[in-house]
Amino acid sequence: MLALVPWIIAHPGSTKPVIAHRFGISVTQLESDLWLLMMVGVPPYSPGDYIQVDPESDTVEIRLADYFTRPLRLSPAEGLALLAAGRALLAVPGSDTSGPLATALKRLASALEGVDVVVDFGEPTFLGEVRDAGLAGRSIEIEYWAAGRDHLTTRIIDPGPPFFAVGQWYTDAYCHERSDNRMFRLDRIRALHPTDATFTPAADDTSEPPTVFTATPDDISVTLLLPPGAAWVAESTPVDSVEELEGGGQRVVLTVGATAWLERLMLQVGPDARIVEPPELRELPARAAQRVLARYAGLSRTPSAPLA
Amino acid sequence: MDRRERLLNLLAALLESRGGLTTDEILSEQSLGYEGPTESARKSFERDKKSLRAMGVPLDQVGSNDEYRYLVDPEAYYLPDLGLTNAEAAALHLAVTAISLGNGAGEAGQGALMKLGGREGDRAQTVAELPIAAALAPVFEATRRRATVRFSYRGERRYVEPWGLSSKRGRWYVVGFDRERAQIRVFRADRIDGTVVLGDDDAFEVPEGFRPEAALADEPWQLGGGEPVPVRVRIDSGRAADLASRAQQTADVEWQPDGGAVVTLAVTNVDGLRSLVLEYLEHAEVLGPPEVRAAIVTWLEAIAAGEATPEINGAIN
Repeated sequence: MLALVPWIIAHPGSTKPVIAHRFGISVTQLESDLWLLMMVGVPPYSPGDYIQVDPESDTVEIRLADYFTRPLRLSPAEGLALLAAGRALLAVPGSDTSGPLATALKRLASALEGVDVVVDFGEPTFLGEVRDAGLAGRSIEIEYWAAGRDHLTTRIIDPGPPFFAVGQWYTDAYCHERSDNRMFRLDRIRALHPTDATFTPAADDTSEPPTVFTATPDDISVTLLLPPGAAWVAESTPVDSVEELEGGGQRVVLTVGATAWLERLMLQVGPDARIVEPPELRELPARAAQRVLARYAGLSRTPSAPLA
Repeated sequence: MDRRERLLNLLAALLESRGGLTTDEILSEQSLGYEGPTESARKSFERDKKSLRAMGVPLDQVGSNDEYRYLVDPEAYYLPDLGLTNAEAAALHLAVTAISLGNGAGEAGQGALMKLGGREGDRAQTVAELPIAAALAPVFEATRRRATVRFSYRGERRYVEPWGLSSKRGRWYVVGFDRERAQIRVFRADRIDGTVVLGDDDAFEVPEGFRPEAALADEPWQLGGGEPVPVRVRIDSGRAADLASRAQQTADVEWQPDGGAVVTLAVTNVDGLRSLVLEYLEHAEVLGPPEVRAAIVTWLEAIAAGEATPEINGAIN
């Protein structure tokens, strides 16, 4: 509430709806805050001596609010959040690195005694092309590595605006082959070609980005027992549930779309991990390990067949 | 009297009082709305002090044990004027809405905007999710004050000079000088457990030109210190371009007639290398050096046998 005062003093005659919108509150809430402010007074003065507001009027003026004319300093969490969000937006490839955001952050960092933070999102090869195609409403043909099925595929997509989540860049795109929207990881696009086809980009909405992983009917639920030290699985993969076990391990339930993905995960976590459910997948890590070992034993030296 | 009203009055009184006010003075001042020096009024005042501090009000306590005086130093209370232009304020509003920092931090960002004069211009569509771990705000404050921090990390107590904060691939890291290990160390912020305890201000200086991002490894096989060991990986056609583009400047790539490649990586962390190679299942193979190849075979044999074994790990050195 105190944040209102300096701005109202600096902008006399602002209407209540404008102020309420600016500070993200309802007009009713604003009026109740203004009544409260009127009651404030410091001994030996009486209420109203310092702050005079007229809550009945459409416009608001505050006079003589000496002690609240300037805003309270930022808390550490507020300073960090503002700086981190600003640095992050500036780190999105394509941002104007000498525009108003950059100068605002310089002022902010100097008010925070020179402390700053560094953000790096990485930049997959085709990020710029995907973003531009999405903005222009131009379909693109991509060679895409479907990690779950361990397959390289070619398809035509209408890309949505790229976004960054769980450490990667994604686009939620309409896939012509599937006649449905699919999530694509931009670092898995191996090649990209423009096409002549066009589409109407979705209206710019301010909703949250789509969920990165959505289950499809073919997906199965898998229960894993993970050893201590494998917490990274639940941190880097969307899981349905995590239960901490005695001794530092975890029981994790997750939804899996394709077995190649699960094989890879189990080989990476290692011999101390177990698939518990469904029973028919319990042998999957051992079989995958045997397949890879066959290669090391020289039993499978021929290069794998060319990918589709 | 409404509690919020009492808090505002109390704040105004503490800002105005140059020398500070004693508890009795505060409780007896009728306009502040306490009911006099009673036990319950004392408790209300204790709660109000807590609330003000939670708002970020620098509420000081001066004087001796018998008679504390409370005051708020206007110099410490007020935000220095940033002199933001409208375009700059609008850019910060865009940033706070475009970057999703997670629950608590998102609210903190909105709170900061309010203190800087409310929301200028439009909000943005979310471009990135970059959750901030709870430990980050106190470490950030310590960095600003040049104060050491003590915290628990993977079950061990640490005593660190926090030199900087940096985010890479969606994770936040604290880069600092570990006083007990006498080395620069990198800590994942979301792995810092429990409370972060700050030491005295101005306890260290960050070396001139220090860049926290330089301490962060680019890839898992580059984590850890020590001399890098060249590891040769054969990768099959169809996946070779993927590995070659991931390793980019750090690797040497020999393309082969069948479309595959032999990629030589500079490895300081065998666990990271193993994860990388197994990412490609049977389409990749470590050719050498022999001890690295053997470590991966042992790992796979343990999985193939389906028996839990002691973890095989460790840096090469």
